[in-house]
Amino acid sequence: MLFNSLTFAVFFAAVLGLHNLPLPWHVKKLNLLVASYLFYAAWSPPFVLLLWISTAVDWKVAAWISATQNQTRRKRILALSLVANLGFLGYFKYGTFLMDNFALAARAIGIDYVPPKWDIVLPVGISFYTFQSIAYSLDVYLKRAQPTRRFLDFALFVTFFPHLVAGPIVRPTLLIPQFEHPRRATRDQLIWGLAMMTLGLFEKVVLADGFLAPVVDAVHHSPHQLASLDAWTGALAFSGQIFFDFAGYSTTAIGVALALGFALNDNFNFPYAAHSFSDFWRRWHISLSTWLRDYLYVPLGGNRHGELRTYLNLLITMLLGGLWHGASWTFVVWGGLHGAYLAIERWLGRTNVLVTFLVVTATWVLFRAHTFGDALDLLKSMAGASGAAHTVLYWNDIIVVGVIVGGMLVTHWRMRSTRLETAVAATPGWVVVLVWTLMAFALVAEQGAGDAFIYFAF
Amino acid sequence: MPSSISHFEAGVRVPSDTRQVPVHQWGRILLVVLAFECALVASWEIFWRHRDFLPGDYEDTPAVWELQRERATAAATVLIGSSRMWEDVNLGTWQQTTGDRPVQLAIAGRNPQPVLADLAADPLFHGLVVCEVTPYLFYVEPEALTTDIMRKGRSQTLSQRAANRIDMLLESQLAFIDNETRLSTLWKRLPLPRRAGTFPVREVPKGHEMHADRDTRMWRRIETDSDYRALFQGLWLFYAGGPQPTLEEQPPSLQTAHPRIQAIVDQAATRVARDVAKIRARGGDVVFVRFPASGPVYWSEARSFPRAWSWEPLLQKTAATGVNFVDYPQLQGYNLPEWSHMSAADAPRFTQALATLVMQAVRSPGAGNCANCAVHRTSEGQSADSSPLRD
Repeated sequence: MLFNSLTFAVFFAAVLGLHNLPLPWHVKKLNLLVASYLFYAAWSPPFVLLLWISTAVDWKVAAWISATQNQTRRKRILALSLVANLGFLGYFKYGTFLMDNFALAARAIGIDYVPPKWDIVLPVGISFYTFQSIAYSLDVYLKRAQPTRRFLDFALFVTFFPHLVAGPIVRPTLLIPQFEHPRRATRDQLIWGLAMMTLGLFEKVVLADGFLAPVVDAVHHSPHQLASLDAWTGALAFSGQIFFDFAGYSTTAIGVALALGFALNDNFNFPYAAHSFSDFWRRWHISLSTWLRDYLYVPLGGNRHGELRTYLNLLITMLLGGLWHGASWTFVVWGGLHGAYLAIERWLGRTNVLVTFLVVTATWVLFRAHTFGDALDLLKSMAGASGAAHTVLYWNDIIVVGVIVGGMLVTHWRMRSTRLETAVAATPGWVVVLVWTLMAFALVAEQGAGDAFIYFAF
Repeated sequence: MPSSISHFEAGVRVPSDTRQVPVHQWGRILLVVLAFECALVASWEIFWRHRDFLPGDYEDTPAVWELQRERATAAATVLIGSSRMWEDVNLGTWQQTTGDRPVQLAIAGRNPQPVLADLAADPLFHGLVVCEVTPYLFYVEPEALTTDIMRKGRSQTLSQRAANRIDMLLESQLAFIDNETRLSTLWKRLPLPRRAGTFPVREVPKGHEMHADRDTRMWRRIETDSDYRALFQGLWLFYAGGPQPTLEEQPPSLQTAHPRIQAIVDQAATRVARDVAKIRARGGDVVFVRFPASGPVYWSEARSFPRAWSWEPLLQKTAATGVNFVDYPQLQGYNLPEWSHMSAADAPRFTQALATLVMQAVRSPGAGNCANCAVHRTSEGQSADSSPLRD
């Protein structure tokens, strides 16, 4: 179920109503759990089975790890969680990719191997909930925490619908304790949650889907080499689209949870105001960056084993982070480039806001393009190095991208050292009314076509 | 040793389990926002109702198409083709004429061959398919564009199906729910200077109004607003390659048939023949129909796809019945405001004439005996007129 669908509006009203009935807390939690399964099954009912397996495996793994002090045995039990979760992820997300690359490698050494045609459907959100489940087992293994005593709390942690399919990736230590005692939103939390939902959906439906996505598609679907202005407009539009799409989802998710009385962590912090690449990754998809830091970069040794090893760890972490985004070499190279930027930045010292933004924007081209050839063509067009340059964009497109992306950059810059809540608190009430009304009206007037969020594919 | 999952070891950041709420009088803010919102949406609705938009005019989406496809399996008559079948045929009139309300599966601007193939592959379908043939779309338009719509319709999730039902419920009551009134569409339509190299017409503007079972008619604004009508005429002229009132004034490129016409038609007709045979084997039938066009549109089609090289081979290969408007006075003389589609006022009269002819053709299998020799099975005889310029 998409947040930007009419089905979700009906679903959420029902869940909110149920959650505010005078029922025992465990019944309310059961309601939320069933609602979360319904939310997921609305895409594809059979894939709920994967959620159940992932939940059951990590629940048992954490209990078994906690029950033994034998380090070898603890490692073996942890391996069970990793094999199960990463196995699902590997099969559903990377199966075809691996087979295709195996066939390529075989052909390179003269073996004409044609892999069987797999028709694998990617279960939506699998990358998100498997990372959450793994985090739970790892926390217990690393003795950062003991397992929770209530299966219902753990199942709800894995499945809680606001974060289930596209994050934020929530740590067990944040969410599970919130299920221990009755929670209901106060009147102000409920209304602020609704305001955040409006903001998030406005970003997604109006800005990302309505105005920016058609420009991005026109540029990326063009079979021709493009004029520099068209190429840059398309690249800048994608910088805006992916931010408004993903940050819009996160803001909506946080608002939905808050309206029910729960707190999710921030996932974005005005990333295009970053003064360096390391600053960018502290502001962009924060829940993934911190997950990779805590469960991959730090266990690899982090920066504790000298400069060279630090560079290597950065590169490995970002390469895998790129692969997490999708089963394609373009994502791997995108991640690798960001790893290289982090390493170079560490070596040279700080960069600045403009360089960071422009390099991040140029690197998004790889993220959006389907092939290296497509990406290279667009980058060449951006550099003005294409031969016969075609124009595909109208002045209407160029102006709207300029206004939206320009507005986004100004906002990020002005908000770089503050939080949304702080800024809203400092804004006069009548301005809040005006902005909220206009965003809600724009949402209604744009109508929305129920397009899926970009990060659902990850 | 920590005692519960909520306690992390030192050094690992644990986010707060409560979120800051900005201090404001939120209850009052919400009430004012709701009041303004209601007023704005009501004004928006009234504004669009005064600009020819009406409730009950639905968006044509893959989901809406799929709803009709599900009905088609058990239907006696199914209409396929492109926008002419969609706009020119009035389902109510067809029902009054034949006693059977057909299922409308035509898709605007798309090749109908994949729809025919889909019906042929449906073992439970044994009805009559009336297939409208607009030459360029039927022979050249990529089939993938049609199959993409069909795939999207068929692969909807439960959530999307539910959303479609809710959306249709809202569309039945609200006029402003329309692709044409979206903010992004309104912005795209702003008449700014055009950049060199871009297409003169960006996309086809709203040209129809569609009701619950995809019963569609021309949108009234095309008939009443000459500037708006000119938008469509400009679009068709662009596709047709320029004004073409007479043979002598044709652009050279359009004075001859489509360069690969024989290969294209042969390939398409062979494939279509297999689908027609499958439908016939189950007791169904297929009738091909050429709808009226006028002005530059008519000329462009007649030049690029001459009858003898496109229409006749299709009927010969498929051994199917064909109804071509040029052969019937009762299918001519209608008002086609933008040269390609029929006015809403004329569609019922045209539908009655067409439905009568189609039913006659189906009920007379040896149909070479029709008065004008144009409703015929060409496998049984020669065409009425094989002149390549006739059409």
